[in-house]
Amino acid sequence: MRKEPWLRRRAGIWAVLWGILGASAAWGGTDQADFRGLVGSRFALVLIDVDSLACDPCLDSLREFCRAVPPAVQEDRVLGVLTFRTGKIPDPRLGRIARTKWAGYSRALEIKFPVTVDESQSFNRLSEAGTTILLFDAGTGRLKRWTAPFGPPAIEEMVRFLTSTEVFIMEPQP
Amino acid sequence: MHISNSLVFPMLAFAAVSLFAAGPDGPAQIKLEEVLSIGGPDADLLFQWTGVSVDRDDQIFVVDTLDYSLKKFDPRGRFLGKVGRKGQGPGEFEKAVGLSVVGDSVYAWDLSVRAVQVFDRNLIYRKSLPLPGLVDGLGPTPDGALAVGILGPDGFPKIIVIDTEGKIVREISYQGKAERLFGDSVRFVFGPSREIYLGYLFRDLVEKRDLSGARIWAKNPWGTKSVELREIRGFKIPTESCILSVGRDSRGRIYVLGGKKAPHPAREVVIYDADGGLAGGFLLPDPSHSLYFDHRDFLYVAADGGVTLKKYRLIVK
Repeated sequence: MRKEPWLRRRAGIWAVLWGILGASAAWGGTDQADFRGLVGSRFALVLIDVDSLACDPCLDSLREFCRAVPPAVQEDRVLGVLTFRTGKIPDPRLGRIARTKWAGYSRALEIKFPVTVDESQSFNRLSEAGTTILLFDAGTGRLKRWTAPFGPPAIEEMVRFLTSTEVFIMEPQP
Repeated sequence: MHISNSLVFPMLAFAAVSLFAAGPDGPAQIKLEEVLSIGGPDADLLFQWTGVSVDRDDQIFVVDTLDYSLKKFDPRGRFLGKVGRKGQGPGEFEKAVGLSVVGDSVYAWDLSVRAVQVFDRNLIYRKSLPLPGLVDGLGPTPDGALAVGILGPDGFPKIIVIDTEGKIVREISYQGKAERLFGDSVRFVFGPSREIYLGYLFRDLVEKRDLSGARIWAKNPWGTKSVELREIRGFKIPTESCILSVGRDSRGRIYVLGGKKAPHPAREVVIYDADGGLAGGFLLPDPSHSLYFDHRDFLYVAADGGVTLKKYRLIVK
């Protein structure tokens, strides 16, 4: 996999984030957003419901994903977002607590991807059914989403998507 | 490591919280004075602690379910070390949910493992004691044995007494078949005169029984009679927690921490004397999943969703 400067990678992820927010009306194809400058860039957004940290079985799928995706790929191409189920804007203190909890959990399991806290609750709707992973190919503008539990085929597809250097055609989302 | 003594939340230092009380001597004012805080939202020390216990040297032991560890702190809250990682091998945890220091041994248990792991006070793993059910609680009996609350394979809770090698000595029978509630869980502490105090997770019920199981008194701290049940795959499962934790201080007072059925869930504490009289109550500043008293009557509870451990002195006026 081609290594990119950290800032460019991170800028790419944030561009994807903005793209998703801007084009969130349509799932399964976000061709209306223009990411042609990011051809070859592929990212995964992992939306983690903070409440699920208190529920070990709820995290099984996330652990499977983290076991399957190589650490270097996690660092380069994956961003976690800690989300809240509450309908109101959370207390900033809750965001700090969530970060601290994640720090302990991710260190214990050697999870390498960075996380941010969804303080604006932009991803509530997407993660309300549980841990959700969005794969985004910036070159083709394709987006795909999975909600836990992820089966082995889904994990395999995610890993292939994030690690392959070949053109990757994602099947339309059911 | 992060320790804050009334620095981060000065409002909580004397915080707290006096509340109602109604004993024979009239209303008692109870205030919580914070004497130690370990961890915190911006610290990197505790992540979701679930069990705490203090040894005779005032060293504090904590199990943390989010980083699969058993941690040790000195009496001033300074981090001394930790052991554990995710797994089911010796010294490993899947979901550590409780611990108890008895003598020179630290007993720690998982939510989903039918055994108790035994460490020494230097955090060195010694052995595991296999048990006939999932462990729900553990504490010393007045005669030096260990009482273990277990959830049996039949889905009903019971308390067994084991020796230090794990051999079952006897069972404490505390409910008839008609009273048993599938999936229930019981919190317990012993008194000095061979009595046991029980608080039920899903029933609004606190009891004092002798070791033969005979009931001495019973109380409904929240005044509710019914148990909320939800049917899941043919089983009727209780859903609304009533009593999260039971503790006892050296003066024989019983402290009951309320669950969802309490007016202030996970914050409301009701105090009974040894005869079952209402001796007072107070609110915790922050919701906590448990309460624990050490041998000096300091109270330990959670704050900040489990990233903080607070130690309080109770001031009764």
